[in-house]
Amino acid sequence: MKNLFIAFLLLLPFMSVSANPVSVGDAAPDFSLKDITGKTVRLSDLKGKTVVLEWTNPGCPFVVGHYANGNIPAVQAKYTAKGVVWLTINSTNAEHKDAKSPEEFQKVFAEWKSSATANLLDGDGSVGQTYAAKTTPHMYIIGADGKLVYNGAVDDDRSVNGGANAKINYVSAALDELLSSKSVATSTTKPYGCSVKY
Amino acid sequence: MKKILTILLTLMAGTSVAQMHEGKPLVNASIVCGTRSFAKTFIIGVKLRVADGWHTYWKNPGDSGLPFEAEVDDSSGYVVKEVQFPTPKRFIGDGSVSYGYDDSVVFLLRIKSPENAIGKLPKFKLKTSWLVCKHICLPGSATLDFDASQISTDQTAEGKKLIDRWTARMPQPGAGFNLENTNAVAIPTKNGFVVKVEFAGVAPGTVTEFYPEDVPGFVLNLSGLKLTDTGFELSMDKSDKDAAFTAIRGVAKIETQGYAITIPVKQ
Repeated sequence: MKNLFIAFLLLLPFMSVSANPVSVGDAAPDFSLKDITGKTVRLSDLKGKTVVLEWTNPGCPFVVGHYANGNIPAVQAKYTAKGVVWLTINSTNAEHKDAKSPEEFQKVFAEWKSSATANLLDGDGSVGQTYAAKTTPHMYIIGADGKLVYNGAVDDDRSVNGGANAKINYVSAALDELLSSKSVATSTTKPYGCSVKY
Repeated sequence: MKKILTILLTLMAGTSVAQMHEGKPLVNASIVCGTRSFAKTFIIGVKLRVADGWHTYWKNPGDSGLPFEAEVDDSSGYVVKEVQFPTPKRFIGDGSVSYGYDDSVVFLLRIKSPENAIGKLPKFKLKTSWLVCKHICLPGSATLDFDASQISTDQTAEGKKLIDRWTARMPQPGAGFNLENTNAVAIPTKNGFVVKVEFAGVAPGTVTEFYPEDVPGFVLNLSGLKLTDTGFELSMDKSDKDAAFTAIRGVAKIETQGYAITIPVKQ
């Protein structure tokens, strides 16, 4: 027991310094959130499927850019058609100017022609904080085994132009690799966008 | 999209352009010129005056945001060779950190003249863009006309004062940090490294901020950056599995002055 304790102490410096509380390779923390239609979605119910988490806020110009030019909806449509589950998560606090009612979200996502599987509400920000979502958009991909395989940006076009000048869409690349039973080559990137309005 | 469309950029007098929000000026952009000598390269400034409570961003905006950008937007042959960013401030959100400027800021632009225009009075259009944030973020842009022939001697003198003031706020060379003898090590972690730096050339407790630049191939944990009495600790995850680094670049602040330093890191 004493040896175990000493080993634990030796490991501490390496355990506490990861750049993200949820790191690629870790089991994705489970959560249960209501979507904008009132239906409850639980991550653990989706085990066996590839799941994309997209932190979003319709008040953020980076998000608007990706939806206005159809970039994110196109990726959503392409991969949900292949069995990928795509969940948007809004962690904007209820008092914030960007906060919206479920009905307003339904209208926005319909106008944007979103093909997300479900649009989840995380009003107290607890799921966002657990995943350390920093920006909108901020993307996570969870493999069929329930482990996080991607954490980062949508693409490399760090602007409000919605990926118009992107050389690579990291999410598409990772999903293509997963669907081909390959490991994800670029598994962590720096997300860009507005801060999450916790 | 509607919100973006409401950010109307209104042409004001001369080279000043305002980004409007809810009927009020949010950001005022203008060119500052403090010289009548236009050699192979010369310096002009772009001043952004930002409404109370809002901020724009440093070259590394941090966890969110976008840096100020500028480029010549015509066929005049002039080129923006470098944008110099003053020492920023740190803005803390919920679990995130960003670096930038509230109130006014002047970015200094080093402009290269075309060969056939060296020594002549320059005239060109400067396309600028920025992101300004408070409780929400709004992108802004402005094309500013620069015509040196239209700038009076008095305006040049006023411009020089402003350029000089902001030149002093640029990060200075950090020779006093004795970086060759700084103890900086990178300790491997599960997904990257933690870098521990102990400065050798400055008194303990004098460095009050460190603003890191991006490290290609890594994602920095800015909210976890910890200043110690003698330096700082910073963790970073690899975004490219083959990524490697030999140094950390950034701006260290002592009192109100920033110092641009490149710290060699042992691995």
